[in-house]
Amino acid sequence: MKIIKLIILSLFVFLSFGQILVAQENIKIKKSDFQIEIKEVGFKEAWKEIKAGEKLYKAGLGTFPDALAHYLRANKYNSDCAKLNYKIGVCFLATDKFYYATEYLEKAYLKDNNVTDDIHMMLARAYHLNLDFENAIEHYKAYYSSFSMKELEKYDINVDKYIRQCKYGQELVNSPVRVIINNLGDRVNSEYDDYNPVLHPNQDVLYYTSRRKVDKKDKRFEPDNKYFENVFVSEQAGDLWKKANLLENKLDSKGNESVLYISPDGNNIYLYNGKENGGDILVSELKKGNWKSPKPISGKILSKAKETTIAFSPNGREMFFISNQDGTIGGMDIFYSKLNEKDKWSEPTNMGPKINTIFDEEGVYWHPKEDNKLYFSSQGFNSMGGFDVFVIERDTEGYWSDPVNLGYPINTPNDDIFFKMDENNKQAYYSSVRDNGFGGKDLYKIIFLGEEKEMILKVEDILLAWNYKPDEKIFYHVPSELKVDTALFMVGMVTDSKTAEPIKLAKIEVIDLDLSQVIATGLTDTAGFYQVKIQKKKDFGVEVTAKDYLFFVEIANLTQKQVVDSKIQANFQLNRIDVGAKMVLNNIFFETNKATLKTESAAELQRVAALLIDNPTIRLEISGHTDNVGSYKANQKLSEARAKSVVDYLVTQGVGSSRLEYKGYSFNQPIADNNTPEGRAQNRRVEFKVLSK
Amino acid sequence: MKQLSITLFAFLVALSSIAQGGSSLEDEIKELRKKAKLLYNEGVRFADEGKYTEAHLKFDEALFIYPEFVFPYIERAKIKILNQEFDLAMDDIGRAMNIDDKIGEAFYVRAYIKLLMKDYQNALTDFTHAIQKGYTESEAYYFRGLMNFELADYNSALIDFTLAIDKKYDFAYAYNERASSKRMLGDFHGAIHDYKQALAYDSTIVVAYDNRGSCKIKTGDFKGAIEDFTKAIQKDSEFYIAFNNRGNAFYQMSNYESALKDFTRAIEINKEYAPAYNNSGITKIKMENYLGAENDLDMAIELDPEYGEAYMNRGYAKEFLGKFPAACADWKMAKELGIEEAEKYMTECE
Repeated sequence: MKIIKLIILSLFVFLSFGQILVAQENIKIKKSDFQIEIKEVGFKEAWKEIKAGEKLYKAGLGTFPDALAHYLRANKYNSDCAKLNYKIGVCFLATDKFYYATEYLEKAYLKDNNVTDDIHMMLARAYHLNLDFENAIEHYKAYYSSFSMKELEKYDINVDKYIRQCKYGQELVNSPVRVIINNLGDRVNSEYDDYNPVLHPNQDVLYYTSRRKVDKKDKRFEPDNKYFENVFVSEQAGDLWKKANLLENKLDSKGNESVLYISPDGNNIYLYNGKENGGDILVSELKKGNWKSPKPISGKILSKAKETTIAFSPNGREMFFISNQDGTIGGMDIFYSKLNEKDKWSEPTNMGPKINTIFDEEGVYWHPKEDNKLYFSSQGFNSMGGFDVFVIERDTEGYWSDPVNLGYPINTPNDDIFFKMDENNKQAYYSSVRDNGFGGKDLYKIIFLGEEKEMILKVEDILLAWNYKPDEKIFYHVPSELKVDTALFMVGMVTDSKTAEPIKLAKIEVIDLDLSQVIATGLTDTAGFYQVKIQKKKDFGVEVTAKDYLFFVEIANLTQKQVVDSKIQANFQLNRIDVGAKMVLNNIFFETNKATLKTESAAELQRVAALLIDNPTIRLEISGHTDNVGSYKANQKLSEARAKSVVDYLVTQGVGSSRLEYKGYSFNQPIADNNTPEGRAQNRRVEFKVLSK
Repeated sequence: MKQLSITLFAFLVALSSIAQGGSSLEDEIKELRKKAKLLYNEGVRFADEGKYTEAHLKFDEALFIYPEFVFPYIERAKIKILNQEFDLAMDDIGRAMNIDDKIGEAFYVRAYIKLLMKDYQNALTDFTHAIQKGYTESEAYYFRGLMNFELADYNSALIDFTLAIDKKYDFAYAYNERASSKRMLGDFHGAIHDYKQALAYDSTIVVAYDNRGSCKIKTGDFKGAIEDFTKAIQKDSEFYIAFNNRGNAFYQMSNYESALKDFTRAIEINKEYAPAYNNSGITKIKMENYLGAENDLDMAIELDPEYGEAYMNRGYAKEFLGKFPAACADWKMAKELGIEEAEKYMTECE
């Protein structure tokens, strides 16, 4: 097993997660791997591309994008070469087009699952970056399993960190934060890495670091084969940034230099110089519009080790900086110093294991207004991959909270770093590798959205068909030729018997008693008013029904009423269905001295059945009553039998028997005088009472 | 009334003086009335054939020889309404009512004129009078329902449309309007059923498809809604409201591309239709085209400066663009225009 250790690149401002790619295995593509025997056409040109690509690939990370262009052209000749697909995949991983990597690495693995020793690592990396955490974990584990115990110990191989990152990633992606992340555009960003935005306190000038090519003579920085760091500056113009220019300054170190911080008064700019003393922080003063030669910062901060980013508290009396100097817990850590009473910086102290991890911390930044809030990036804690941005807050007793991950999509499995929040907590700038970039790391603006808001769709309808297309035919009735209208109208009101309130939508049915037919129907309006056309003045049966009311049936003696303006008045009152309400069923007839129902009772009985069906919760007591002719006992028996007959009939109409009770009252409850034939006739009756509703 | 009687009397005296055969005045009057009725019937026949000018002429002639004849006034008023001559129609109805104030149809026609003049409250009163005086045609209930609807009394409207349907079971317009009343009362399933009935009796009622679609959105049946809006569009390819509503259904299904297409088409048909700009704007927000959204919402507000929802939505677009003070200004405006939800976002502006 061939192991290539990570090269530690200590001479520029921060270590990138992308450095893992520096460690990838550089397998050589041989002619025999690539050439297709029966396909001569195009081979020569394709092989030239391979050779060019191999040279650039070997040179290092910085020229992977250039190698990629050659490899892709070669791939047109033979897209099934496992090694070529591997290299294309690795190259894509080094760019902001990392989402293409999976396709090529999968193909490489498919064609030859031993194409390289680290194929699982590269596949895991590709899945990881593309948020496919399950597959990533699987391949990290497969990578680990591909080593013997001896090798694992010897080379200190551990994938636990990455697997943890994947698990944190799953959690963070499942609960995204509400932000908009916009690329600052091609006037600021380049095809190379652009990072570490530092806004002038006036917010109108942006300083940042870029590893772009400045002029033809520019050389590449050997460890990663990228161009050296330089400071660029762009001015704001409305909503946009103007084209960035190289910051002319007196540093001119010929090495890596980066802008770190500008004092609130705008008169001091802090810079990183990678050439000095392992990497130091310098400060340059603005005098008469010109930056003076940078000098090492005061205090006991600088060491032979590397010091990178720096941040001051809003009042300028506290300082945080990043260094791997003595006292580090692991790699780059956050150190702290403050001014004493004599305005001297204290001895730097490590922030301790609550804030620093065995992995790198970078990009420390103090909130411009809130002196209790510090932002930084870390590869530890619950990072989802590479550097993630965290925030810590200091309580009133001076204790710092545990770091809180700012969440997805601010953080990604790639490096998200150099976060700079504005004073209102509404927007921030930082650098990230995202799929809408211009190449490598780019500068982005994060807009923090408030709580999720529901947008209001406007829906309109033309609700009335009339409004859409008035139809004159509805309005304009051509009358029939002149005639004498002899029609009569029965008109009136239907009201509640107790409250006299009008009952709306009561149904009136007029029945011709001779024909036993309904000849007219009508409904009451909101005022309880109805009007039905009848052909002539005669006595009609009238049935009135309404929701929540007992039905009403009566002979309307119209012959005895006066016609006024072709109208005969007939008003009706209905009893509401209340517990205890009673109703005499006038149209139920039995055979003499028997409980056998006559067929002409059917209409009345069906009305009762309909009442029960329409009001499914009510229960009724059906009672039988007699006159006082005969013994009490005989009459009791007869009245009960008759009530039972009614109940039995109703059950046959679909009414549940549990909703009905029957009782015979003999002649105990007369409603008329038993001394007259008319009175006795009224007393012989069946009625019902509402037991519950 | 008196004026008319004197005129009639003078006219009859003149006629009697030239009459031959020595007929009595009573016979002459009977004869003239008979002739007026014949002219009236001729007018009715013309009207039945859609020959309104000829009908008008016959009614004029009938009234010339029998000025107290009520019905030609009413029929002539109807023709004047069709000719948009509302004042003249009102004159005829006034004359008819002066002769006989118990004729329901005269109230009905007067109510209809008031309806056209958007005097809904008085139209409602007249439709009620018409019904009380015996004009109980389904249309009288229908139009009274319309008035109740316009006056936002949806319960009464619902009853009137039910009465209209009770009188004429296949009254498609009444089904549509009753459906809309149910919808305003929150009964979306009942409304869908009535819109279906309206279309069963008259499949040319385009708005019934559109309205049913909107109710289906309310019940979460977006696919059914899209089918209905599509039918409406097939019936009327310029029906921009249906495009706007179909866009809404697509939006609810998160199919923003199709939604945007429909909102754009609605705007193409009616460039002054602010709701489509509003909806296009929020769809663009969903599609992360915040600048495009801001432009659309600017347009919606330009077309309707009191469009509170558009201010609200433009605030969101501006928030996404990082224009926080401007977003807050829009939410403040939305609040002033009565959008309650704006209140809670104002706290973010503090």
